[in-house]
Amino acid sequence: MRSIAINGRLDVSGPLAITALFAGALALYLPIYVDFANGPWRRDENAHALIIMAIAAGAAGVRLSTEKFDLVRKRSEQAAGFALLAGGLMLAGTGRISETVVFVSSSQTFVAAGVVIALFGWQGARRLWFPLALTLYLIIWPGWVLDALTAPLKSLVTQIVSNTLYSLGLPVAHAGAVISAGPYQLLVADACSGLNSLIALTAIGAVYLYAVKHRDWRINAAVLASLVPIAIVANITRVAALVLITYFIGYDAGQGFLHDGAGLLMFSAALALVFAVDGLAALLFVRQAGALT
Amino acid sequence: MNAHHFRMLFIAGLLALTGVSTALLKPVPAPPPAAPDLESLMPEKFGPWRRIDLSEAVLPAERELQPGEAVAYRAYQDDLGRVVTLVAAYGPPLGDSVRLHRPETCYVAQGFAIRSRAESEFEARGRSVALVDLDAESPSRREGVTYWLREGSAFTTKAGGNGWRRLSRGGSNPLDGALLRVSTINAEEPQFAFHREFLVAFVDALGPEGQRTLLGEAAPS
Repeated sequence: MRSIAINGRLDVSGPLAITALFAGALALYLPIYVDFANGPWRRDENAHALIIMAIAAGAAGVRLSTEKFDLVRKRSEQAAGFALLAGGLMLAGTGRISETVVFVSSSQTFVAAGVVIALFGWQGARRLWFPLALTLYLIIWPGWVLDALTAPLKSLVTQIVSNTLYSLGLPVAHAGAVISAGPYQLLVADACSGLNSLIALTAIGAVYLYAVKHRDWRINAAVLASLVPIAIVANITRVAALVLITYFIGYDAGQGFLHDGAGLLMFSAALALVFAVDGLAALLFVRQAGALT
Repeated sequence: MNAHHFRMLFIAGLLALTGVSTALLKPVPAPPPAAPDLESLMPEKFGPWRRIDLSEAVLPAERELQPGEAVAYRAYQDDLGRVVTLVAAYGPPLGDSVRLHRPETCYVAQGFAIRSRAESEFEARGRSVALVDLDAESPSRREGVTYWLREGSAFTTKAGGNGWRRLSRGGSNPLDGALLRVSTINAEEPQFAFHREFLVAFVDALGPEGQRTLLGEAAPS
């Protein structure tokens, strides 16, 4: 197997081929991204798309430009790569023609993985696993999938908040997604399910772990396992805080700037908690490792 | 030019080809159509029914209307004093990111438990309409709910993607949709037969535009 560096010594056809590859990708995805920017990306649940895309491109760019990637000679790898690529292109095509956004957006994962495997083989896909995995966050799920996730999360949040506050002696009860606190009735909206902050927090946590590069896999596992519970607890705390603000200060206070402020504060707190788990896990496992040697 | 560069050029060609061909085949984005005026499309009075003021209803309250969407709430009363609450909603063709609010979701969100759910068919002006009956109960009252939900020319009874449905029919344009829901407050068992009676009379009283909006295009005969 012969290997070359992407930006190493290449004949003129090298830069030409790279430029052509980018041009081809642009021809396919630029019109798609323009459509997304006018539609799905404007909604809260997809607001993370551009940042994720930038991080994925950055992570892939750094690896490709600083490391040597072996070129594929194996037939099986090429077959797999081109099969994935063909699947991705079919998804993009049918999705675009039928305006099915979930097909179009999920084609990014298949096309990216297909191109990487066709050019660099399994080895390359393994080394670029992180940007490839991030493309999963670019999938724009249809409304009914989000609804299926939102509804149970919402009822969980509503139940825990009203039961906890009631057991603390406050006149709080709930019926469905309506929480009554004293004289006030609060509708727990879809946004309060915390689905969006759950998605954002898991993405940020993954990027953080990738950037920090812990030696010990147990630290990564501890942080990954803590992401979802932390996001849910933070959201429950936020909704409970809003109910308390409404009950003690008044309806307008709970709906005003405190509403957005509480969201921001809780998200920062959740992030801090993730770092705390990371620090604790590092302390615990590094000390163990030290004791062993 | 080595094999590797040739491969890259080949991939580039594939990507560009897909981009160009789908750009040519992609349906031209139509400007969002004006929302239908549901209020004027529905009859004020038909058979024994006449419109009365709406007192209370379970409403999907939390969403703002998007361009092209329309919702109307109203109540009808018959000669015997029986009251039916009606909700009509229309959504323009928008692809799969539309979030349809089925009555199941609305009622549960407002604190109702769904005691039972049944599906049935109903003939209306040459169309076979799939109906869903819900028996919903909250601590304060029990409601019988009957609705149909139209996606394009098909009636669906379950949440799910319509992408495959569209593709499998060979049609490529996004579908519009409409929901019609009637409900009554009951002391005992919900009166679904009474809902049918009402719906038959209501559909008969709809004008052509109202039929097209709520029931879709009639099947070619």
